[in-house]
Amino acid sequence: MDLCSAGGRAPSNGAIWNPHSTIRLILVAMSVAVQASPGIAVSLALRRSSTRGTPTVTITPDIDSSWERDKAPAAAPLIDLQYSALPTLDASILDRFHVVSAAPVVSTGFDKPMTFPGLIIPPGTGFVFGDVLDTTAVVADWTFTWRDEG
Amino acid sequence: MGFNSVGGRSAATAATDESVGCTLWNPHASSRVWVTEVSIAKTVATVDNPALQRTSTRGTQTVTVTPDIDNSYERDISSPSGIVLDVTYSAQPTLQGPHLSVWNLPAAVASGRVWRFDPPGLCIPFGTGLAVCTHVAVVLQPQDATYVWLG
Repeated sequence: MDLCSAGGRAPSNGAIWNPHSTIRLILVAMSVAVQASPGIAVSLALRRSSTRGTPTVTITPDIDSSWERDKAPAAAPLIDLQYSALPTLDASILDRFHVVSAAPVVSTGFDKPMTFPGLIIPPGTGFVFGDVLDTTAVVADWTFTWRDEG
Repeated sequence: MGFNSVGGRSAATAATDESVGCTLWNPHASSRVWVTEVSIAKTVATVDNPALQRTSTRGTQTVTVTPDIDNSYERDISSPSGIVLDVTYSAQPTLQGPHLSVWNLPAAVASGRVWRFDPPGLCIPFGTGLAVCTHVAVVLQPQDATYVWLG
């Protein structure tokens, strides 16, 4: 159960998707730093996703994403950063943050460690961070840290 | 195997995606080290976009900080791996793998970032390094960088 990290810049939502059929992931931390002002106040929310949507920009973690650098993540999770079709989001909000004020400051952001043991990402599901209303694109640098159960 | 830390000031990079500002390089043939913290603080008031990424070659460094026994928290032995902090280059290291973490900083002197990795930390295998680089095609500004590692 290695810890792994990966991140990238997204023009709207940042997401981690578990494509595996049996292996679970455990999200243990994430961070976000807003890179550009969307011009209005925005709250970000963390929600589960039941479909991946259609990503157009994806980071594929490999052995270098492993903290031990001993093997690639067994579940082959993916970090999706841009979409032509959005994932299907569950209505429940697990975390909500007001990170962008009406006079937004570049680099506004936070580190979010999840309470031990972390948030389970079952096979075939994901987590999406993004505008709570899904109406405003927030360009941001997203990083996810997870534990791979494989 | 004890904790060590070392710091140095890096130079501005090229305005090229994945240009490296500094690297903690493990030159040993068989010993691994584990990084538990990386911090940066910028010395100029210009936006930049730091990221962490592994390196597979050292590049050609022109300024290097070499830790010794005084960098050991216990001050008992110098780090057995002979690890070094490279802060200026004439030829860039080779980056490998996806970014481990990404961030961006505002146009403010002393703006920075602390990355923490719970012990045992992020492993740096022998013959590889951990770099602070830019993750977009914008200059990574000069910065005071500090690495803390176990090993």
